[in-house]
Amino acid sequence: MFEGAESINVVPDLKIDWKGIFDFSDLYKKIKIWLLYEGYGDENENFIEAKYIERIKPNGKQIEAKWYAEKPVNDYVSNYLTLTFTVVGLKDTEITIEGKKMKMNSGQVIISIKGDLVINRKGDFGKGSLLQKIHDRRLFRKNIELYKEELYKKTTDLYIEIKAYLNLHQF
Amino acid sequence: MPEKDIIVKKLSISYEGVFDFNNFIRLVKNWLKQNSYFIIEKDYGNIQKDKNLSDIKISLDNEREVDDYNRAHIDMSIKVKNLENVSSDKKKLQRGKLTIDFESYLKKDIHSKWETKPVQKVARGIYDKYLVKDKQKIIEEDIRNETFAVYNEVKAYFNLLNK
Repeated sequence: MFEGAESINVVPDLKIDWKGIFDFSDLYKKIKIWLLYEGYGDENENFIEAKYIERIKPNGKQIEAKWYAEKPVNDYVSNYLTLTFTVVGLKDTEITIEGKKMKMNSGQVIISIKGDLVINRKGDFGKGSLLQKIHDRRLFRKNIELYKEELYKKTTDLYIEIKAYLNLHQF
Repeated sequence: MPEKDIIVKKLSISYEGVFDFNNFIRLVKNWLKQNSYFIIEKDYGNIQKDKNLSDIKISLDNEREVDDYNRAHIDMSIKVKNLENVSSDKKKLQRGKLTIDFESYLKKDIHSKWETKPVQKVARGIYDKYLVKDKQKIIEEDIRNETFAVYNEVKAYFNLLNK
């Protein structure tokens, strides 16, 4: 983020907590594909895996990962998603589905999704400038509200997508 | 920062037996929608204990904008212990122990318009206490009634005794 850019939290924290049998590597890839498809996942432009820690513990693998993904809406505004993965007790397991043996994992995964709206993303206005205040509060206010709604929708779309992958109840 | 006034601290319903989980969720969702609440599913936890046995925890933050100053909240926590699928008369149902907690509160100064300067904060106190006291009371009463209405709706769904 450029100096002077301001972040407004729109979606504080949506959390999915799943314990059971699943394919973690497939889930990890699917989320990345979703981001890529929606314009958030280009590793050269707007996506970064800021953290990946893997520890081998007696009860299985422990993984911590953090992703930042940003999508510019226009020159002034961008959507900023933060995804946090926490995996505990991840073990390899084999299950049989319709007579076919499949390699899966057992363990617990907690995924948190946070959505922020970044305004003045290129730092065109200086930090705390009066011009920006007039721009944001008077001229651009309605647009910002609209962008917040769109970001909210996008963040919940991802949340719903992950829930659908894990076959969880949808509201 | 918006101020939070608790209206109903905690209401709880517990039911153990066979029920239709999807239908129950639909009932809650419809009630909230009909009463203009915006549903935010904050947290969804599923712990699979066995092939056909799981614990579920869902946190819902439901909010309704009353006016430019007030926002009503009815938060719900839905927990199901030992949820398993069962069949009854060719219908897919679930069995388990369901607990639903409700908490409602009123958020004031939702756009933080009165918090920027200390003088405004004092003015807001006066505004709340003297100028809009009656209006605030009505809003609080409405939220209280709505909280008990959804609580009773859920109780009725599970055929639980009403006062």
